[in-house]
Amino acid sequence: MKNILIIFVGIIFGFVLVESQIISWYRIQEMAFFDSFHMYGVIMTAIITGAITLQIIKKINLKSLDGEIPAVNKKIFQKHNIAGGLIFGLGWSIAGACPGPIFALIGSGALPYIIVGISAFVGGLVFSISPFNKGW
Amino acid sequence: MNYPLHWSVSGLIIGLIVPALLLISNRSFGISSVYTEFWALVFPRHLSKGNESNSWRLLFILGIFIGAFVVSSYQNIGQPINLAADTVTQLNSWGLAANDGYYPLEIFNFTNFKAMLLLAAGGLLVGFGTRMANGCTSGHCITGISNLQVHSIVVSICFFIGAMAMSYLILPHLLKIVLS
Repeated sequence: MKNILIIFVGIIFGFVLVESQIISWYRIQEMAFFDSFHMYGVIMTAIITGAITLQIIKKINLKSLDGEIPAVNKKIFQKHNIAGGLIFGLGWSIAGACPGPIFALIGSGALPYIIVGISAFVGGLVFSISPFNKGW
Repeated sequence: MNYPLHWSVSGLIIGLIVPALLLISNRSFGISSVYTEFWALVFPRHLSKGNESNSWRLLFILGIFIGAFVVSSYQNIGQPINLAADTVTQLNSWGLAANDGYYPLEIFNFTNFKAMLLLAAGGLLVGFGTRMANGCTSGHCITGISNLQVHSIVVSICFFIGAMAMSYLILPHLLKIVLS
């Protein structure tokens, strides 16, 4: 049941990514050049929605389906996260997509994105065996 | 329904994924961890797997594929998208027609070997960078910031600085080589 719900939420995400064109390479360039508010609008609305709903969950003590107290994984800051962010940004502009949209693009039939997707997994492997990978 | 979906509707639905995953099974919305979790599944003896069971992310990604596939079956995503005029001018100066759907067919072209190398480099940077940053647009920008984690704001700003540096300073030169 939980698994079906997770797939369902994924389907909604894939649907929205394509329907709002935020998986488009062109929209990423528009964003980088500050020519359009579209991408910023999506991201800012998503942050505000997430922040408000997280506060509501806390206030009214909502539990997850397992009866657990829902809590977002706290990421522990490490200095190399800064360099990682810059490196990802460089790739974001070349690929014109971040990780979720790369999967959505392949699903929508954009075959050249298979090259981008496979390379991203290789990048993850390189990180896994790099000295930066401690304690994940 | 309007196409493209308005940014406020899109952002609202994406924002609701954060509480939805938490309430279903206490999972934090994020995609890029799959790039390391996958290899931990392939090489369980050599790469540590982390504490939580991570197969949920594969199901979530399966959902993304299905959702995107369904939309592409009825939405003509090959038609030109309505871009800002300044962006079109800029892209034309790079040698891109910018009237061919979601992505430029000049670069996303299997017959252009240099272009494929560029895409592979982009993918490598995305995979390595997101893991070194410990999150991507979903994990840091959306989940991290909505959970009021200050360092997610800092890392997210780095995402944008990196993208701007590439688009303003580096990509025009790379495209000259790729499209020559």
